[in-house]
Amino acid sequence: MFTGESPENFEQKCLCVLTVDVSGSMAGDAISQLNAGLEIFKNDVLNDFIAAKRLEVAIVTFGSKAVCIQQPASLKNFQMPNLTTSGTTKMVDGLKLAMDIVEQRKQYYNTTGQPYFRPMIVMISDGEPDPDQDISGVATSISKAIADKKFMFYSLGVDDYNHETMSRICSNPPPKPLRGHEFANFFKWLSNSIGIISKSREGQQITLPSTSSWEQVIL
Amino acid sequence: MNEWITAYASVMGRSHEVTSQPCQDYCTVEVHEDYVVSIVCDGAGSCEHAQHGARFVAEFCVLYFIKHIEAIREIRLDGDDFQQAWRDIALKVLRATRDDLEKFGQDKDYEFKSLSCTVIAVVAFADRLFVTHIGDGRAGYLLLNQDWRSMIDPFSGEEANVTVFITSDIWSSSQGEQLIATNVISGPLQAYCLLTDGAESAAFECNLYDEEKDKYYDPNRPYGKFLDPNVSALQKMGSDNKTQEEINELWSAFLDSGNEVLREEPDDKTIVLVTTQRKDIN
Repeated sequence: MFTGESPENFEQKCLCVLTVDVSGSMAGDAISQLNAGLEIFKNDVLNDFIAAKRLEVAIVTFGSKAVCIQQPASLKNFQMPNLTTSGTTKMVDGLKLAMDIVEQRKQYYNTTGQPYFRPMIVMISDGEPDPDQDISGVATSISKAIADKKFMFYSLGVDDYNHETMSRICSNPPPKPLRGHEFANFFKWLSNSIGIISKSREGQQITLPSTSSWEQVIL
Repeated sequence: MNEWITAYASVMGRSHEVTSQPCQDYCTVEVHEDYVVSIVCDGAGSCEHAQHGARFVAEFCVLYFIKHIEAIREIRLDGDDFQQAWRDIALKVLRATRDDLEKFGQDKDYEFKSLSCTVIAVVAFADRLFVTHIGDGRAGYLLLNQDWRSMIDPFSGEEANVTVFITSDIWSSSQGEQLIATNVISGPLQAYCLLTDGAESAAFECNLYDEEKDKYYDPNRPYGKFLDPNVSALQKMGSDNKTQEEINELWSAFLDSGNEVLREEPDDKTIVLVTTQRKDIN
């Protein structure tokens, strides 16, 4: 009979920065469903043996200003915030803050000797960025970072979001439209996808689960 | 003379079950009277035909090393150049395997890089181990009256899941060839193991935390509490005259779900475990 105990190794880290629009237009059902979806996301990840050990989550919100309301941490170690809405849409500021968090966390991983998977930034927005926001500039930064394999980027459009503007920010992959306020299904999909991504090999053509449970089909 | 007893298997990881991807690991072991050749390959997840690459590389490497066995056997360890002598043979074998893999790809109309895989190869005698590897994975050995030690330093890039493959562009420069590692170890051999990286968390200490320095580190240390009971079990199976098929079936079941770490591992897992019934000490 073969038998043997294994050592207690730490897991390689996988960082996800949720970059969330909390401007006034997200008030009401949208933000309520998003908050519920965040709790589902947390529970699903904590139920995945490997993802629970590997995933670190940071949360950046952007309304009239961009704020990091949760520094990178394991989902075991923080309460999901209850997001509230107000103000305008400093989307570019939010994305720049998310990119800074990715770089800082990677430096921390390197300094402390922790192996890590390529981080990801997930942006959720229903609106137009404020007129003073440099969309072209951030689009160039994101495009270069993706090409340099600094992070992966996904964006989710809510309600009557401007698909063209969000596509300018990143078109590969293109923004996906959310059907109604089905954040619960989106976050289930995200937790499954993180499970797959965090177990992938470099350059792997990852087959993510179908988005049909939450993506709006545009005819 | 020793009697070699072996257990070897590749099992699918949990994430491959979910995505319906085939197992991309492969291993093979050839036992001869006074030597054993063991090969472990891990196909690159990106790559459409990686499982074919892993199998091809393992099976051709074995044939090539057996073809060169007399030259390997004759390497004298009391000279200055035994490491180079082994390296010359290992590079010749791996290069020939790589070139044959390319032809295989052309015959099958598979893009060469779609066959990418890592490789760890060991030619073991009773008192010497010759090892070579490209990429990640782990390998350890146990000499009589000593603790387990590692045979190789796995290669990894900036990100956790980045490594180098036999199909990588490492063959046309001395800098590239530095990524092909070789080593010769001498001493009375008790056991050795080869693993793909999917099995490393189970059998090696490879990501520990040093509280004093607030740093994580990879001691690259075979874990005795995992390996020793299995070496003993394997020796007993040898004494009980279990067939190779019976042993491998039990080993496969153990790798699949023998403890929580093995059970939850998302990646494909391969472990080759070889031990000797040393007649000279019994």
